[in-house]
Amino acid sequence: MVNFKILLAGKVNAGKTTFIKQISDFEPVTVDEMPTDINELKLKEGKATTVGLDYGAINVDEGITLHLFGTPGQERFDFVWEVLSKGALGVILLVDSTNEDSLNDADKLVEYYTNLKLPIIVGITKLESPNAKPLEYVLQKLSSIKNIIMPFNTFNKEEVKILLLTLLNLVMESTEGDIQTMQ
Amino acid sequence: MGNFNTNNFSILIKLQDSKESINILLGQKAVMHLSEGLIKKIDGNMSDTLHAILSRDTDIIVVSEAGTTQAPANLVETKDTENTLSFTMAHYLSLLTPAILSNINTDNLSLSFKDKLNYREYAYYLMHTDVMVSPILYQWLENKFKEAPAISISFSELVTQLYHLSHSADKDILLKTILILAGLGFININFNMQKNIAAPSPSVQIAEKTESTNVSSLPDKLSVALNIGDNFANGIYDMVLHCDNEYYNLNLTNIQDRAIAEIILKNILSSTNFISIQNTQTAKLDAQSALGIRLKLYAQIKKLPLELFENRFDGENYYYTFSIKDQNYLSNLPIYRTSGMDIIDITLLSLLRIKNYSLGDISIKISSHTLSEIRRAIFGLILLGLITAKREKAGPNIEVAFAEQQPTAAGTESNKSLLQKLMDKIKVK
Repeated sequence: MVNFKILLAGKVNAGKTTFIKQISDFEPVTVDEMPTDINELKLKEGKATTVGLDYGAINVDEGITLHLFGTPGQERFDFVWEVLSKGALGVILLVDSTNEDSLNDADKLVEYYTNLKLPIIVGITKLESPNAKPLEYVLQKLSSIKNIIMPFNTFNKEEVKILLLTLLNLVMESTEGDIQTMQ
Repeated sequence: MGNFNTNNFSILIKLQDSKESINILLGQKAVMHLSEGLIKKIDGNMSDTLHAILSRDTDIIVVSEAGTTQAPANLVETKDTENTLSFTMAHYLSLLTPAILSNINTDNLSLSFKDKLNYREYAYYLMHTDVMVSPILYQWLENKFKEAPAISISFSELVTQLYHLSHSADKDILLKTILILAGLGFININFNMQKNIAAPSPSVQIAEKTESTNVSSLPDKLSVALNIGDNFANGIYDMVLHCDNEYYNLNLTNIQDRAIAEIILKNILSSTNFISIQNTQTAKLDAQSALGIRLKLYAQIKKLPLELFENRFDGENYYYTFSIKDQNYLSNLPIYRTSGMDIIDITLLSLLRIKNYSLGDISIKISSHTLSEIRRAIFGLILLGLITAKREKAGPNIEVAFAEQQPTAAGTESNKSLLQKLMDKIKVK
């Protein structure tokens, strides 16, 4: 039995839960609650937000499992990020193109996970939204990030797969020796 | 005699009369089947041994002080004090429960218990095993405590009580136990921040309190609730500890609150791959729903092909019926066979490894609430399993043999290769 782990990171409402729903073999376990912060409440338009974590997985017959953990977006839960990052293969950081804060903080999150020595790629979400900033603007905001940046639609399974495979390829290429597994 | 796979070595632990020490016996009959190089020695005190158990990096065989060839009933009976008895039971539960859950290949496994574990026993159980591997027992215990009246106990008092119970267990284990208890929702922790946990490093503070607090009698029952992610109107509380009808609110922007929250979450997340979170509305949450989430998460993470489809109480007994969904779940596990007296020596090891034995529906009723009844029932299940295995797989006269473990794909390929397989699956998903 071999267990790999990938983290889905990003600010509140960046699309992490939706990402996991698209690719998981089973209905993800989510721990969503109504936001308590007034700003979060506005962002989520009254919908539940993840305060603990999301969890999904992809299984292969030979006893191989890829676990997908969505981290809580709120910064005050950053100690959960660190806990979850242990044994992870890499991180997909989702940046919400409709949220200025998400764009502004992306480089900090990249730096955070880079410091944990985890391969990381960036996915830009919600570009299909009428509230999305122009792609040119988004890319300009993310210009300091040297990692792979890919626009994609979290509701499109094929695009989700591409993002996930991109990260896994990066893991394969960037890892010397054998790849670590989840403890 | 087959070869013993080096990836699965075992140790033999002998419970001594002393409450605080467990010595490893080498050269005993069962162990002689293994080469000595495969045996991990754990010399030292109970704390060291518990670390080994909790880390689950080895298989463990436990025998009574009388040796390795006793009858099953004697194997689990000790004539020692109540505490030692509980300790024995805890070891057995830690071994038997995952063995039962992961090795029985049957359509339905049904267990029923009528019991009232007292808190002392319960604390011992939790302190000596990984409760996460035991959804059946977990649910059983949760139902017990759901019925009980909620009793609040201060954090420092709880630590003190557990420390008192554990004799020599180190405080990290105590803390972990407490946090798991809280995380599972079995206890209320009534934090008094100013008094009990004033420092950013709660573990240190707790240790100091432990030594200075008087020990008083334990309440019989403790119950529940840890809540994360609240709905409080002003929205500043991220974690709410619920004690009866009172709440203690943790604001994670506050360094002291955060230290507590961090310890709780780290223990829940990292040590168990498991998180227990309830809505703060909470208290309104049907306990069964919360349990359902936990079981679901557990089954998914651990990949147990297990599905709870019945949970009922008939006024006298609890019935928990699980469906084993994947009949091929154990197809790659090796076979260990035994016969005669040797069956005792390697019963546990056999259970950890036995392949494809099939049981019909099993229902065990325990008519009293003694530990020996529970142990007897569990061993009855084990022996039934072994007997069935013998009947179906090898006939009545089985040679003692350790079968060579069949390598699995995961055991022979590099992780890179396995990851490539995973990627191939994702591509066609």
